[in-house]
Amino acid sequence: MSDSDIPSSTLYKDNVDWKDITPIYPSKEEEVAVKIAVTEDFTDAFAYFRAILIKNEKSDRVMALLEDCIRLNPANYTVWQYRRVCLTELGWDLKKEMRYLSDIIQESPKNYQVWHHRRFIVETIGESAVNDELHFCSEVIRDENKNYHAWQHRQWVVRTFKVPLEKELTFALHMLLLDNRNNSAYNYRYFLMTLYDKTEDASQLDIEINLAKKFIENIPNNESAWNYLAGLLITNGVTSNSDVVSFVEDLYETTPEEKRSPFLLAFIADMMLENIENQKSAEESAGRAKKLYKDLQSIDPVRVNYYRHQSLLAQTMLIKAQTKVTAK
Amino acid sequence: MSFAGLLDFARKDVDLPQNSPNELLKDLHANFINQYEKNKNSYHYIMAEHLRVSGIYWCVNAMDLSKQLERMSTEEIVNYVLGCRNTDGGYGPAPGHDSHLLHTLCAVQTLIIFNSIEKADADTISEYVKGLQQEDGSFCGDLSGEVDTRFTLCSLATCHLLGRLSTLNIDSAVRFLMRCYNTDGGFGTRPGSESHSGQIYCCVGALAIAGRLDEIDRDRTAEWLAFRQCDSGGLNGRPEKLPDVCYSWWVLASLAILGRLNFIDSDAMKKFIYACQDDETGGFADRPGDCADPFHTVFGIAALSLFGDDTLESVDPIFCMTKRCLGDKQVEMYY
Repeated sequence: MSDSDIPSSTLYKDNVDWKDITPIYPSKEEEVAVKIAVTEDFTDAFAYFRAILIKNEKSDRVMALLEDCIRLNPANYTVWQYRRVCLTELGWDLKKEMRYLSDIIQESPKNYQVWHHRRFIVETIGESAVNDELHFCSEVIRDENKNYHAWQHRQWVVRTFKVPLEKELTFALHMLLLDNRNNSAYNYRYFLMTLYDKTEDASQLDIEINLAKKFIENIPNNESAWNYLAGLLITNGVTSNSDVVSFVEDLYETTPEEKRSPFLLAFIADMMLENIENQKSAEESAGRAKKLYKDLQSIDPVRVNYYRHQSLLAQTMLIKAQTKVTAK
Repeated sequence: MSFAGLLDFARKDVDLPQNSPNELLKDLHANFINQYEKNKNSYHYIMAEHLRVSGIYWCVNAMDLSKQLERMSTEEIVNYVLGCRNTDGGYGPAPGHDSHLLHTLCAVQTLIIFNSIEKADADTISEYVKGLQQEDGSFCGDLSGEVDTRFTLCSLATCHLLGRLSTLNIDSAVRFLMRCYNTDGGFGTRPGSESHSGQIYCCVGALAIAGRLDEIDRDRTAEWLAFRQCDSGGLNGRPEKLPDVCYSWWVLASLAILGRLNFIDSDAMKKFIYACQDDETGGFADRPGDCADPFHTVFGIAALSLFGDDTLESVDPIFCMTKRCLGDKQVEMYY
């Protein structure tokens, strides 16, 4: 673009269409209290925004002003709030608003306000917005696979509009195949199970456990997969599923010592703690737990204090178990 | 061995540059905070109008923790904060802006730091907060209706600091928090949302204020938090994310509230935080080599204070304020 294409000033104060508005600049006191350097177009646009708020004007030109304010500061919730009021009152084209929002979100995907605004629009449009919305979430997630807002927004869409379970499980699986360590995707599968009342459903639990095992086999040093596996067993404990116990023990046996992941060792140690509590070969289990925590101190030294604490816990639990037996 | 197996131990982390600072540059930070207004552009976003009261709290608190509060102009700041009060009883980020719980808490914190809380009206503030509590116990941040466990902490902390905790329905607030408690021991923003260090800090802090920490399995939560420490010593917010100074605060404060601060390797942690200092301008960045800002500066200093740095004031892990200024407003905790 050559210089001649740019208007001499893009400021509102120089724009004839805004001549009827008296801008409200920050007061001297405000400036003194917290001195802040902002650009001229920032000061200009927000001076007109303040004036509009007081005048309570809702119009097409205000919508354009709000877009400028959002561009300058997308985290300002007052601007967004006012935009919602205007949208409703002006009967604004909501599809157009969605396209506008998609652009903004692509630019600043971490902003709370934008997502909240999007939710408001989807709610207003209703059912017919669902497919586009899922597609949009997928796109943002493909760009940044742990984007907290996008996953959370997708949960909201699925919950609000009862999107079928299978379809969403497939989406989460797809994301996990692209990145076995994507904690957001594991969390999403668990969310789906909770939503569709499947956390105690034996066949669904088996599917999930097998999935976790597969991903652990593929990359044993994967915190999320191990946490997912432990989470699936939370009701009855990590030793409650014999299939999992033998899977973990086999993995330990078949992996050369120097290649064993800290998560593998910590998981077995947790199994041992559970054995002590259940008075299942308590002494032997405590001995093994302490040995594992000792190994963990050398292979994962940054958590040495944590493993020491756990080792002491194993000892404490053992003494508790033993005194319980004696008391019988 | 599979291809993925080759990447077996490739956790996400950063390298600390060799010439990184290796001690606390306390005086530089005080200058950084004190002079930020002269340093244009780089961090004006943080002090922009829409979050100015929060920005004031970060700066004032950083100075209080550094024992340099006298360098801030008390009267001007107190008057500005008071000017952010709205007729609904809450505080906005700047005069004329809508009230929001985030800024209401920051306003209350700033007034307490300057020993001026009597200038605020505790009754109207707590009524404002109460008005944002929903039937399921959650809190909206403002009238736009966004729910987040962050706002539960804001509400409970604000009312506690004003001696008005009983204004809120604490039982239902706790019930909502527990719906956000995940099987990995962490908490998310809403029921079903992924565990995140920042949200854990909010939920654990709120439970501590409510006197209901026994609702959770402390060891499970603390274990998840311990695994946030990367080999560089820094702490991340979620598995497989890069470490960041502000997570140092959220993770450490949560562990301190749970009585498990020792799960962290403090020497490695300090080394990481020191390396995030800008040794020319002062201030802390999110990671070594990035641009410093007041947000990461206050949380970097607060994190170091949790480890008992003598040159700093002692910080309270729930409220992120000096224990000195909190006095008897500190929450008693039993482990």
